[in-house]
Amino acid sequence: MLKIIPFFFLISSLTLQAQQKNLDAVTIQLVREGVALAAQTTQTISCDFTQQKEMSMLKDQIISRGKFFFKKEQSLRWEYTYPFSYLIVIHNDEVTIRSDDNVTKFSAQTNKVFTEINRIILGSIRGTILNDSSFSTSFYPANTGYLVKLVPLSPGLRENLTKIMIFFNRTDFTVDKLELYEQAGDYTIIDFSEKKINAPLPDQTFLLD
Amino acid sequence: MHPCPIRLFCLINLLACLALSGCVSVKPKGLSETPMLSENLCATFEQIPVLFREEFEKALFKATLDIGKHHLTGLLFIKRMPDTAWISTVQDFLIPYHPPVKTITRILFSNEFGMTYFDLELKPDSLGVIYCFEPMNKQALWKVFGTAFALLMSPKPSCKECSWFIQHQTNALTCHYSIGNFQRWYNYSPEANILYSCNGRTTLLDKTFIQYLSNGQELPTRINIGNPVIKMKFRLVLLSGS
Repeated sequence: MLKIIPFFFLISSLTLQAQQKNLDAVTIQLVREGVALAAQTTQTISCDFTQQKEMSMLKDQIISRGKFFFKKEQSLRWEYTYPFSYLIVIHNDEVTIRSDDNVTKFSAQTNKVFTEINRIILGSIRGTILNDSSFSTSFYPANTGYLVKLVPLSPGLRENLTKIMIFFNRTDFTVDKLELYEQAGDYTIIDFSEKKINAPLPDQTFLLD
Repeated sequence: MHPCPIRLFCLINLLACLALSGCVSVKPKGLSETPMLSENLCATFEQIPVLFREEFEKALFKATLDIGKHHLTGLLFIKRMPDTAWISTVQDFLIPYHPPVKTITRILFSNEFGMTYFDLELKPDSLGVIYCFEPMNKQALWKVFGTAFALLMSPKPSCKECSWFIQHQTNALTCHYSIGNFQRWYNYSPEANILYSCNGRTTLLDKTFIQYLSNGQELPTRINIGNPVIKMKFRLVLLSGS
């Protein structure tokens, strides 16, 4: 037993060294202010996205691609082009989906997962997620900017997600990447690219007949 | 002591719903039993491609699930894996399912953003729930899904294993096949060369109706799974598969 203890300490110290170092308080404040300012000044976002769902136990992945649009205050449009053409518009609390010329409308409240994802994405763009009391928040340096790790505190959210990683751009503090880690070990990475900030977006973008 | 009137009302409503939906029979209407099919028809029947055949690896479907007032959309991923990948699961629900030798079938339904609604493991005799979105974690629901997916993934019975029926109005052929209490009805074209639909149940609760559009392929291009008892409709459109 005594022989095991030094080995245990060695492993523990190596693990600690391997952990990422938190940002210092000054930089954290800088990130908070940068994200808040970006949220204030961002009226619209248009960009491409690539979504990769990793299914750990299935040893497989599902890749989706498309275009993403945001307009202040709460309008989102996810235009999937791969693996199939599919359109999701979330305006306030109403979700509209167009697939194969069929348009379905429902309240986001009838689909809890949709509600949560919508809250996380809108909260990331609008910066409110950094002050959301339903998450514990920690800040880390990342290659192209800053990583904010959110761990859900509310039992309802913890049932689905273990953590959320948001990568903010160092220059404009917009979201570069979002990682959603699920309880079952699967995770989804959404990469945003070719971002156009405050390009004109007509209201019709968020209306589907 | 008098029973609570609200509870009594709810109980009566529940029983009425079960009684009404329980009346829907999985056995197609207007059937009359016929002796063994002719050799020609049997030969044609045996050549119908087996859906989700033994060599099937994986398939991705666009999926829409409606249960009561809930409307879930996303992707359904089905993957067949060797039995070495069997893992212990949170819950197992027994179903008499007899797939090709020693494989498991994983069935994962996630929304468009990749968040998993459920991740199931169909074993030879049971359905394992690896993960499910908490509001869906209902034992009765897994019993329904167990039967539905077992019916979907089951290998086609041979011509000789079927009890054959003819539908009066359409001359369509129906194969009745059962293992234990798992009753299955497969509905074929009069020429026995196209599978239209299949129905099955193990209990009154898990009555399942599946309609196919297969275009003669081994993987159906469209699948509609329904259960009238719990008012469930699961619509699948094939995106890719091998």
